[in-house]
Amino acid sequence: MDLRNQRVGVCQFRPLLGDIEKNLSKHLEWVERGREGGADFLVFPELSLTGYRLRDLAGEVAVEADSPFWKPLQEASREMTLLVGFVEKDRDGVLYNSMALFKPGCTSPFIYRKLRLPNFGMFEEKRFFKAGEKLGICETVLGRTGLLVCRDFLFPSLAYCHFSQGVKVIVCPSNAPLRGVEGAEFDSQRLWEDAAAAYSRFFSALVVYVNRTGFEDGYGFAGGSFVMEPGAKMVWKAPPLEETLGIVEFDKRCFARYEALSGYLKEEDHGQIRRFLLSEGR
Amino acid sequence: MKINAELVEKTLVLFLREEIHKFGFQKGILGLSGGLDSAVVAYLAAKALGPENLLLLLLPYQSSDRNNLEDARDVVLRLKTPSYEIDVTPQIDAYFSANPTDDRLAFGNKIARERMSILFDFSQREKAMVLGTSNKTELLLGYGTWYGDMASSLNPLGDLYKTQVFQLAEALGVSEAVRAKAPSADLWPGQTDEGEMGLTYAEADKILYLLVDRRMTPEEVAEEGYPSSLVQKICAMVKRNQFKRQLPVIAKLSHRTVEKDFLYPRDWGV
Repeated sequence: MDLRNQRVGVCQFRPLLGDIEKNLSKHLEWVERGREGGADFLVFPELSLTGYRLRDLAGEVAVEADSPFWKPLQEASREMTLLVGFVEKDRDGVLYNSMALFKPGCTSPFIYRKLRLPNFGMFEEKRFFKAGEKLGICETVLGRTGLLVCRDFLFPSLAYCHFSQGVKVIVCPSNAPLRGVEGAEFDSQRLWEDAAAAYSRFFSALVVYVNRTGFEDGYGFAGGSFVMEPGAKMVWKAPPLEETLGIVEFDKRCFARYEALSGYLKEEDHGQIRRFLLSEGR
Repeated sequence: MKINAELVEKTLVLFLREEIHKFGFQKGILGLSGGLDSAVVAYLAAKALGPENLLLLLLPYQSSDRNNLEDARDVVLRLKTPSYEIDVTPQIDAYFSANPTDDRLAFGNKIARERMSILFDFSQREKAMVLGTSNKTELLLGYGTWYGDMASSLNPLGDLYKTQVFQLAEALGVSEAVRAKAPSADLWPGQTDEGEMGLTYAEADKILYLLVDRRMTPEEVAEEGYPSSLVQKICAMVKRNQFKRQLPVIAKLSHRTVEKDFLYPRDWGV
């Protein structure tokens, strides 16, 4: 395993709603900036190629996983891992809120379909998308990496599944709208940081949270992306609302150091937890 | 209910700038009454667009409170924005001399809609987007003229209660004169919002906050110490005015109907 320091590029990015060609060009510009910054793994937000509030546009901007559309990003991933968000259309025309992960040297992207589609209040993702059925876990330059897209991240049960599968790095591309303007930061920011603090502390994970910015139909996206090392150590945080590219270096030894401090990996017994779950609480 | 005014200001300035530029406009326009809400929107829009890209229209009627006109002029001077003053009296009086009414609400609504029509006319002339000034209290209570002052393209204040607009106004440096006076639609002499609705903003905002934002039942709100009759009255106003917060209802006939299952974002294609 490559133990040198790794650089994660956090793209706090503002896509144009429904214009995948322009967004693709913009991705390639940011890839160039990421390259200049020496990023090993560049993360874009959820639905970064399409924007969020698509509604009926979702079907019109959807791309198949094996589409020639991906060629420029495939080429751009020769030296750097790229994670981008898009609307995926399967062969039957069913739509998913998906992420495509391009690894250097791979001919086709790893696809993750969002598992938890929010469908209440201002959210209506289930109206347009089908939920995925598989965990998004994959070996990357960062180590064993788990993808949790936006609302997925708010389910500790899913984060635990990643933990139990040996995930070291949780990457959360997000499209979180700002809510709550009473405090020093948006109330909504707390949600992400609280969850990340718990996962980084108790699941010994490095958390990379990448939120978008910009406004769509009056919904503002909060930004506030961050990187948190194991033990709830906030190592980098983007400002709210503004487009920002952060190149964040982290030391892979942080995992072993945290385990020496916390002992959680040694003491956890995933087999026992599985048995508890299967015995339905008895 | 207390807001972080700095955070709200930053958010709304970015909202205005992005939503206006996205639609290909450089400029914004709004009617400046001399009251709190339009002054706050003017301050925000001047920051978002630059004062030279904001056009303020002062549209007094002959019975309008003279102090309001003076306060509106003062806002224009402070912000250093372009402005026009258009006295709407001739067109209002011409209409009502041909179609008289004793209904002062009808009279007031006509003035509000006349102002709206002038704003949209200047929107076209000046290629400027019309900015709304209705706050959350007004929208929930239905205290506004449908297709009058409620008509606009963008509304930065629609999710702030009146008491929160006061807080924002203070942070933005809106003058004491504008902040201190009793809120009024100024559609007839002596009219005040609170007098006309029979409630105070301070109380109404707290009750609405509990009902809407905190999702409490009217009974639970009354248990917090608010008069039950007032809570009931506010609930009735919110329900009765739901229509004002929606587009006209379309009868569904086809398989795909505008607004019902023809679901595109407003930002479609910009």
